[in-house]
Amino acid sequence: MSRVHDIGGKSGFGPIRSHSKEESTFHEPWEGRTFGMMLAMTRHAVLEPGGLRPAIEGLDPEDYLSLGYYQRWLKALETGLLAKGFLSIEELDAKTQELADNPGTEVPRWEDPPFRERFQGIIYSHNDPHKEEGITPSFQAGDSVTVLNVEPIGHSRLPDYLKSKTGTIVRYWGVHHFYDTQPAGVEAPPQPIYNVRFSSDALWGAGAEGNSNVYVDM
Amino acid sequence: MSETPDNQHTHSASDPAPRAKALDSLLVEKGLLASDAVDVLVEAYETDIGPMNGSKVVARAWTDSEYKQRLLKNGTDAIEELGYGGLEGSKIVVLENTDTVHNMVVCTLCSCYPWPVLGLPPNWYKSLEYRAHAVSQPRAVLKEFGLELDELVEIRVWDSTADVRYLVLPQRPAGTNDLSEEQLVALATRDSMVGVAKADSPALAS
Repeated sequence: MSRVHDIGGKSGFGPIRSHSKEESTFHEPWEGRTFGMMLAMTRHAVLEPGGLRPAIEGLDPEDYLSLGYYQRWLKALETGLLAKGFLSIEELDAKTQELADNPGTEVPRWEDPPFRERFQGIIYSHNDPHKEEGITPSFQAGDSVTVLNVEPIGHSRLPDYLKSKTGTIVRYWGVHHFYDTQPAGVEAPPQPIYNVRFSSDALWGAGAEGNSNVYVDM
Repeated sequence: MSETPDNQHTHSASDPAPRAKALDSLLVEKGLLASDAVDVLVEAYETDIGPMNGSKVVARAWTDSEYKQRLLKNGTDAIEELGYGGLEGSKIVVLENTDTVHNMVVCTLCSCYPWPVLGLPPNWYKSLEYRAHAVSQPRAVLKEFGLELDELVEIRVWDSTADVRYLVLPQRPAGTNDLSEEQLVALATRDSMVGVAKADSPALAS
């Protein structure tokens, strides 16, 4: 079982539609505001526990597939704000209608310079999640490993296409806070992370393309 | 250049612009959202943090073999030497393309991408098509980008699932011996640093 976002290896999506060699970071102003709102609202723990990824993966599958990327962010943000009681659906719908009817209306502003400055630092500063907590790695480079066929607890960083497949440990990345085993409300426990190589033949069988391998951190 | 709005899959979804504006307005009115923090984020990723950073890293590696060794050994630290680091870049690993190995990067689960050196990902990187097909049909996907590789070239697809973020070091194009580091920057395109293209040749970039 896996959720609809877990699409690695699925076929039939057709050719990639956009190949622009350069494109604007945000295609329309609302995309940038949505991106900024999402990050700036983390101070209010709108999507905790879990954060953005589980919120997006938890969208209705039809919404997930039909919405564009920042539309998913918008939907996840809205869902979190409603769930936490920051907003009511009535006031949000009413305000949306009011603004759709009066597209020239300016958005009000509230500024918080100390927060802005702290935030500006975060954009450019390292937040190294690397932790060494006395955990000894179980595997070494060259070891053959088979991925467990496990059901994730909520959010998982294990793509479905790897379950029960056998690969080879390539590198050990040390101990990280990995979100794979995080039950709701609990900080991700530190885990050793390995880079594992899977041959395309092992993953895709007779239909595999020649001379290719997939590398995944787990 | 053509712009593709971020609603390519939309069929029935309502217009996101007034919805986003409504959220912005209500959160500001309630004193929950700092408008200037949003401004700072938008501006940083529109003007300051993008593939131009990665291009400088690549051009340095092409011209300074000691830097290249440091970059391949510890990408995060070598990239920080040039002043780049931050959100979604706590561990950056650099993958070198050679005559016999071609690396390409995807995030099948979402959109993991090395923000400090490439900025926010383009639409194609976040598309369902790329995410679904890159791991199982990399040669077909590369062909869609106009890149056909010999069967003898091993393709390594890196499915970015964790805190490790990947930057591809493309091969330095032929005929660039006379170019300066500054001139080489223009050849290290975004697509070449994700691994769906080779670096531009000088003729293309002029």
